[in-house]
Amino acid sequence: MTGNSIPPISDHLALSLRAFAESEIEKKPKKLSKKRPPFASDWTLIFDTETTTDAGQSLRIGTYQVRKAGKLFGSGVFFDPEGVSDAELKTLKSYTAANGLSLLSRDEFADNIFYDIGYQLRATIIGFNLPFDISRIAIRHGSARSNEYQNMRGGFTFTISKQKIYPNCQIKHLSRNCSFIRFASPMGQRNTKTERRRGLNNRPRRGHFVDVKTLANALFARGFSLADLSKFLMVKNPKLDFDDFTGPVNESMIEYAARDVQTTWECYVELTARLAALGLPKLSPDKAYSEASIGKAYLKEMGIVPWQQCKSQFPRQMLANIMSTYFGGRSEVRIRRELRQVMMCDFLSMYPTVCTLMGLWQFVIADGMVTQNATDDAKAILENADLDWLQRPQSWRQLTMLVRVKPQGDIFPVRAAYDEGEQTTIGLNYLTSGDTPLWFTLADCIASKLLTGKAPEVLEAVAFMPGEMQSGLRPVNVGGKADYRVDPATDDLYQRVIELRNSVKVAMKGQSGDYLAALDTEQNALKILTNATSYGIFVEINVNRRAAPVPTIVHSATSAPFNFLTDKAEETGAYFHPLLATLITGAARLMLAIGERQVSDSGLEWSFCDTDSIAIAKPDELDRDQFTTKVNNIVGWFEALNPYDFGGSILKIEPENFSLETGDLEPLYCWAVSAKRYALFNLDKNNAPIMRKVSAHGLGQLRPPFNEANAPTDMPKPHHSVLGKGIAYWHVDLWWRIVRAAIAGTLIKSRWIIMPPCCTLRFAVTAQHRRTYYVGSKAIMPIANIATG
Amino acid sequence: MSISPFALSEKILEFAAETKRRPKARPIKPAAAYDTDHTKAAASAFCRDSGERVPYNMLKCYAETLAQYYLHPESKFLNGIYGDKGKTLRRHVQMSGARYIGKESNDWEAQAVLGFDPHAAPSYGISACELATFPERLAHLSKIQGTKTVAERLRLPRSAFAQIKLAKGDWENASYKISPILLSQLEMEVSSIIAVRQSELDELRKAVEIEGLRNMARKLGSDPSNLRRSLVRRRKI
Repeated sequence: MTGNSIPPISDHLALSLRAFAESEIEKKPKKLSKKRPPFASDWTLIFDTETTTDAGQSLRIGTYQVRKAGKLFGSGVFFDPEGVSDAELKTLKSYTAANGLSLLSRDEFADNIFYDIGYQLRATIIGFNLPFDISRIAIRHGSARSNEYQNMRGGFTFTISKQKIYPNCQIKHLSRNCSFIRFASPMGQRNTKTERRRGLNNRPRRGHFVDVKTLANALFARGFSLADLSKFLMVKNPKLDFDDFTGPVNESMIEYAARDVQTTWECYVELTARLAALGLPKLSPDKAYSEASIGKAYLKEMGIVPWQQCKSQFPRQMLANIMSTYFGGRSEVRIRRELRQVMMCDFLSMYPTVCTLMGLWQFVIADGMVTQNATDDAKAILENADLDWLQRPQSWRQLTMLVRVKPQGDIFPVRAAYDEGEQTTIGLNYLTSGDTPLWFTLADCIASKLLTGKAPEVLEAVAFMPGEMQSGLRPVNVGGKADYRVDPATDDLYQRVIELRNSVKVAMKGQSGDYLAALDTEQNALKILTNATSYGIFVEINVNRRAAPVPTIVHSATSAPFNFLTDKAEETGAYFHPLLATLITGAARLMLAIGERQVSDSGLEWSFCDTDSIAIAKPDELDRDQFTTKVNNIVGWFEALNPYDFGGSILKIEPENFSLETGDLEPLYCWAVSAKRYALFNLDKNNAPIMRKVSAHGLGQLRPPFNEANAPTDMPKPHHSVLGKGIAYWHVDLWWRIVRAAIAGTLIKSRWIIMPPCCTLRFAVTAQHRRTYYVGSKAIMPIANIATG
Repeated sequence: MSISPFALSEKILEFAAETKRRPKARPIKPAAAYDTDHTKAAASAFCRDSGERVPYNMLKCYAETLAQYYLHPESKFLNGIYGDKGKTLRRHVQMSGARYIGKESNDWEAQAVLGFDPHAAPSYGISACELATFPERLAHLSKIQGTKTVAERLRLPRSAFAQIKLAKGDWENASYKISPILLSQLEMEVSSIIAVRQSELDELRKAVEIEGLRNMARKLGSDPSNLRRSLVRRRKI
């Protein structure tokens, strides 16, 4: 690979560079009263709704439970008088009377339960996919009003009670699994005359809403349906099967609805126990929005002050330079639509590992950071950097630098619109920037040297060093266990947690029953801690829409600051630290570049790579055993970079390379189409594919056209290890057909895909800035699920 | 649930039969009540903008939606478009400018379903220095290709094109409508046209030197004075 001649210029493109923008309008937060609104009481309200199946999805019936300190206080059924017939009402009356349940109209439920218990008694309001249920019991909706300091703009406000004393409920969709839900400010004056005179503003009561779906996603980093979650958590009363939602309300439907509430409660109890096991007493279930919430809670628990608070006046130009070096993980296909034997390898906990190698934890616990000119150092490092230099762990400590270079046919991440259109993607390409110097991480510059054989021309470099260690750091016991104590002052969090998790995984081998389940919970807590603190929170940026465009100062790496009118505001997260984010992803790209160089030096090829994995391809002329030996040598090269107390290489040979039956190495084949779209499979005696791993990229938004029960029968049943983690049965079926056609050398015919005639996607109407959707003259209440395309 | 490629043209034809003026084609954005049964969902399909019912036969099927899945391009590299197979090659990108952006993954969940939304991610335009070059660049392009062609290629209204080219009124804001990729492509094409013309001209000059102006004009079937004028005029290119 080294010494390759630089190809001629193929494209003239405008580069998309990340900038740092801040509003010209200074934030002046209102003076808030020191009096905080009271915490949630020990009351809980759990409810669920059943709706019509037409486009409006309006309320038919709902079920609820009220609990005090976990004990059932009351339960019942509520109904929309316009949504049920007289006969159905009769059924409801007889069922509730027979089962000792209350029967309420929607209005009665809203006033006597939702507001009396949920608002006045400060109950925790629990549901599964709560935004949907709240929107179903609403009588009106509109745009959430929100000032500059409350980020509810773009959300909805729902009127639930006809009583004006009760506030509306506001919902803002954040992601598929997460929404902000709160009570709006109630009508009328909430400050006393004295408070108003003093300019004090009492905080309104916002309520305590827990969407079980959100909580489960935060704890397990994956989406669940209620049925899946109840099975996963093995609760006593899992969700019942029922599908006759178009029929009249009958006892089965009411029983199903009542069970849903019970299942939701049991899942909530189990999840809160798991949350408590993390040892984060200050993180309440209603504030656990995602894995990042847990990560931030851990850092807070350790007494770590966010970098932005340590050094609020960090030079804006430097921030812009840092942001311009930020690119995500590298994901590419090298051998496209060609059947190749591969060995799939991936890096052990890539982001925590590079954090440890570069010593980035010291930046997290530091009181700010200092910079110094390091132009000569960067030049010297680039001069000397080669595979031997990179194999020394201490070399990675020197990578905390950003370098200003003049790219002349160097290989760098290039973000540009490669297609005709405006959508940009990032590709590792040759770059020539003419007279415009650009900033990159030192890791990206070394990667370029590894791949081109020449070092980029350095104009300037800045080294970053952590400031003094913060005072007030506190050790935490992960999962509440003293054995899992992490002291932020003396331990490298990432190293310590990976080592602890490895020890738990070793202990799990050969165990069974409750002990195995307990160990599994512990290793899950450790996994969450590593994932949640090693990358995402450092580059957390939330984009909020403003009512109108406002002047914004744009700081960029290649021009002087300039003013720009925009209606979008980028709010940085609490632990925003862009330097760490860019150093982490830059080092991860360097790891892959080392892999690519090793592959090339060994006379091998690669099919695709994705962030922390690479599929090494066997050249046709190479013997299988030689191929395995060469790959093992590459894997062995990375052993020296293992920073942990357990041995082995940080590059691992993936389980897909081993036979499902014998556990021995077995030829694995790859068919890759484009970045993140690939399938890995074995071939049987008849050259038929046995699927081992498939990608669902570009398919996840489509509703399954069939499931395992009614799937076409020509595909052999895939091994259970292929399914799950976002991979559905039909994804495997689609790839099996693609691969089979590829092996046969025929084009896949779309008609081969036995699927229903109409393609549907599931989508919820969740953003106020998108227009209201209508069916005829009837508006669909927001947050209804619709099928769309 | 997407729209069949033939649906729009059928729709236009229907309207055309009723009215004299050809209506502007508005994309139909189908939506339906969520239902686990695809047939039921499709039966209730409506346009999410107009609310009009969308007939079943206008909806795209799975086979159509996934028809090109196995050919998805890897356009960030060469040899990565639909029909290509084998090794992809790294492009060599010459930076022609910079666009400043914010969080590019903003609202990506909705975009995965509803399609790419150019307004989803914060975009901060270009630097004042680069913006200042636009009038001159457009003037240069229109000189070679003609105003109408360039405006059409850049998908700009002629009025907006003229406004930017002459740096009149609020031309800076109008400049943001220019697609950077289209502008770069056009500039590359124009520079290759100039190169071709220049080489033709050089050859012509050589031929004139050898054969003389009158003989050359006779061979080309042109008037000698016109030939001299074009040689002089084109030198300015």
